[in-house]
Amino acid sequence: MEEQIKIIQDMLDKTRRNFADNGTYFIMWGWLILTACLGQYIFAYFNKSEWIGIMWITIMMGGGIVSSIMGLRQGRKKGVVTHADQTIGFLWMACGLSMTLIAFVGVPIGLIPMKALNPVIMMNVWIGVLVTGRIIDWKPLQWSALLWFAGAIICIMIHWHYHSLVMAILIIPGYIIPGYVLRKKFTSTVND
Amino acid sequence: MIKFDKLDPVIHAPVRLAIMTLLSQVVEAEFNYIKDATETTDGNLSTHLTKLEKADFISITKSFFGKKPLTTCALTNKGRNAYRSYLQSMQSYLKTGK
Repeated sequence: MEEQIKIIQDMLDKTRRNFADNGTYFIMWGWLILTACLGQYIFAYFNKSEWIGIMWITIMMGGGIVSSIMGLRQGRKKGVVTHADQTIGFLWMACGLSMTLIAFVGVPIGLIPMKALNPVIMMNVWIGVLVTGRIIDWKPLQWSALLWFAGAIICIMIHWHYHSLVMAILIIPGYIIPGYVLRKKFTSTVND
Repeated sequence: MIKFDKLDPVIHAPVRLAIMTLLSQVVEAEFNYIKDATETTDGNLSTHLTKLEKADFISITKSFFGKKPLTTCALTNKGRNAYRSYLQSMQSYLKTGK
């Protein structure tokens, strides 16, 4: 009986190691959104607003396709799909769909005013980051989620022309840095 | 008194117990991943996977990723219930044993 208990414990330890997120999506989306936010600010500054929508659609669609391919490849490479992987995937798919609908349907038909777009998106991101942090049980990510919530409140208080700049600044501590820390953490866990 | 025969013999074998425990924690896992985790050989693992599949405790899906063949295993509902019952029987046994 002791042998059976040891086997169960060993296997639980081995599978627990795979619950770590490798941060790739945070890094990739972080840089993509940072580029898009800066692009949005620059286009608006030079009165080329007609390019903003096209730029966002291109970046979001490109990112979506690359994410799907990466997800498939990573799953195959890791050899295992955990419940955490699947839940995080569904969570971000839901967040992504909501954000896409809001930005590319809600705003063009006038249901959501342009000045409300970034705060609403940030509210979506805060939920995604917070729940992901909870699933992978990593406190820093849960704290960085609060930045998104704070960002949404800041955006409500300032002129909407600066919303993309706030988002560009937030994406660094709210996405990119956690992504690189997660990657480092993941690499050291795998090498243990 | 609870006897050993209450513990499902299909699950009780060490390698099969390791496979069932692993699969109970994930959505699905590939053959090589299970092989590394259970530290067994291809032939041995195949034999145990077949036994579990025959008992309808796991499902085995064969596919290709590029040109590479992939064998993916997942716990079935019957397997999940059987694993839970096994753990419960084990708990009862341990309590009785104390």
